[in-house]
Amino acid sequence: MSDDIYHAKIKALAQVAHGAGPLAEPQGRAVIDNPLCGDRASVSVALAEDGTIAALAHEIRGCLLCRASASALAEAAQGLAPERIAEARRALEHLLRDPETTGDTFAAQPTFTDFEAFRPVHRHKSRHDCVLLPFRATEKALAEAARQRGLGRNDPVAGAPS
Amino acid sequence: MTVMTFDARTIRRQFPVFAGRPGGLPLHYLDNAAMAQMPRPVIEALVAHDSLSRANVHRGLHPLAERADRAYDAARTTIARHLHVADPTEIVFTSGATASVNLLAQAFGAGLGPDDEIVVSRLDHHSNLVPWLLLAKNRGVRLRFLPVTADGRLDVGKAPDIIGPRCRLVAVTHASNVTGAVTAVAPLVAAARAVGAKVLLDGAQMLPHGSVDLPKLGVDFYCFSGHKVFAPTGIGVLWGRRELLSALPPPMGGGGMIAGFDGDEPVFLDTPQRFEAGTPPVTQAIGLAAALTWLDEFDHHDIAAHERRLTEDLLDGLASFPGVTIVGPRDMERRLPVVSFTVAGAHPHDICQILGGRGVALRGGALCAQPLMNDLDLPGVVRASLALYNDEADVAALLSGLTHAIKVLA
Repeated sequence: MSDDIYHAKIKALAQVAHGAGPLAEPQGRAVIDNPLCGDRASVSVALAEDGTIAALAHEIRGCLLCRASASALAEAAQGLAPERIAEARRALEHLLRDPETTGDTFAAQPTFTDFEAFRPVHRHKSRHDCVLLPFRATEKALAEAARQRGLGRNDPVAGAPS
Repeated sequence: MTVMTFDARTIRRQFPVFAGRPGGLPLHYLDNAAMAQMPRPVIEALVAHDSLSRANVHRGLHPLAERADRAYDAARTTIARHLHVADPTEIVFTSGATASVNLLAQAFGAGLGPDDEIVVSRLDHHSNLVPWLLLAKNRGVRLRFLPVTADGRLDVGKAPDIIGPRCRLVAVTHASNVTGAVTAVAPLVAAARAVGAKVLLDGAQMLPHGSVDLPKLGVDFYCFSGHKVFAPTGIGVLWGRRELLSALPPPMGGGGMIAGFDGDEPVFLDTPQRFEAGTPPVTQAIGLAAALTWLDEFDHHDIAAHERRLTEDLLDGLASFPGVTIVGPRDMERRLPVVSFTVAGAHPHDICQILGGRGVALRGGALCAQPLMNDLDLPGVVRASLALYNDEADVAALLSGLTHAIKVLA
């Protein structure tokens, strides 16, 4: 059955929608589409003086999984170094790809433990991108923000080290 | 040919996929607009050819090659007969409808430029839009769009306003893969003829649901895919009037399409070989012929009546859900058993996921019709598309599954 991915935690994350809406003065903004389903994740970010994430806001036109993921990400990202987003995305990819060997996926990143809720999604490969779409948009937005500030960071979406 | 008595349950038994129980559940396959299942006679034809007659065609002189030649050529004749086409050389084999449209866009488009227009629509699948957008980009050809009515039909009443004297081709769908609406072809052809333009219809959705009589339609080009009409993947057809095809340049070169060389200049064979460079999809063409032969064993009126009953049941059932909106015609006039809908507060993928877990195979998303979705301001739709082997149990499973999905997502 597919109902197991729509458990209370996922639904609550989607419903509370942390970070939903526009950001008044974004330093970086990115929009990524999922051509399979027509979903769209639009993410805006602002960085603090020390380069950490000061604000992350998103506008999601997507499924419940995509909205839940964006909500959990917005809640976790506040105050983190941008590099931590790419690390968390890789951990999440690992969780979705090979859940049996990753009992403590987010042990090193306790702010991302909400993403344990997405473990049942591993059985549905066509839905992995729904969960990952907000991360990809966020990484692209962060790269744009870094460029705006002249930090010269590479675009982690393109596979460069973060 | 003996016409078989129509009984969906008997027909269903010819499909091995329904004997299996994927996920331990009965399969309610309602994703036929994406890919139809194959009946046993088609599967057996594929296996028989590849087991006993496998050889390249129009090249070899040994007995196996001669058998393959005969089977491949006979497939072309069978397909022509199904379409009521007298001349089998008007049937060009491609890898699918997408390849057919691309072939035509490159061949027909080779002589066009900025002074020329092609009329397309925002109702069409990307396969009959993107090739023309590429042509517009590459050669400066201007695209004009036929509008879509509020209930998801091509607005052919506007055709005389859109199809002007610079129009060279009207390239639109015969039936929408989203709304299920069947295009009123006659006024479209009349508007095109008035300015000397040609007409291409994309028949990918139309062909599985009844008889298509190309001479009666009066169009110039027609295309479809095998995988939507109970045949294998990797095969499709571009049909064109012989005098038009013979005048088009081949967009792709290779073996099997050359009559000879005049010095270093290649001399091309006539249609269809000039458009079938390289080794053609021999087994797939034989499978397509087997599928259409199988389909012709049934009275097409019986198929249409059966599918119409189920579609009425489905539309009535969906109308009982307060949050459900049909995207397409609500009536049964000129529509296929392709029903798209939205559910208030629920994303199409979430609906499809939950129903998939109950054995109900649907399609959700933008359905390769992004311009239409943009116009409707929708991220996507849920689509149920029926075929002749579907029955009342499939519709009931969809409706009960939808009730369940709405509860789960609440």
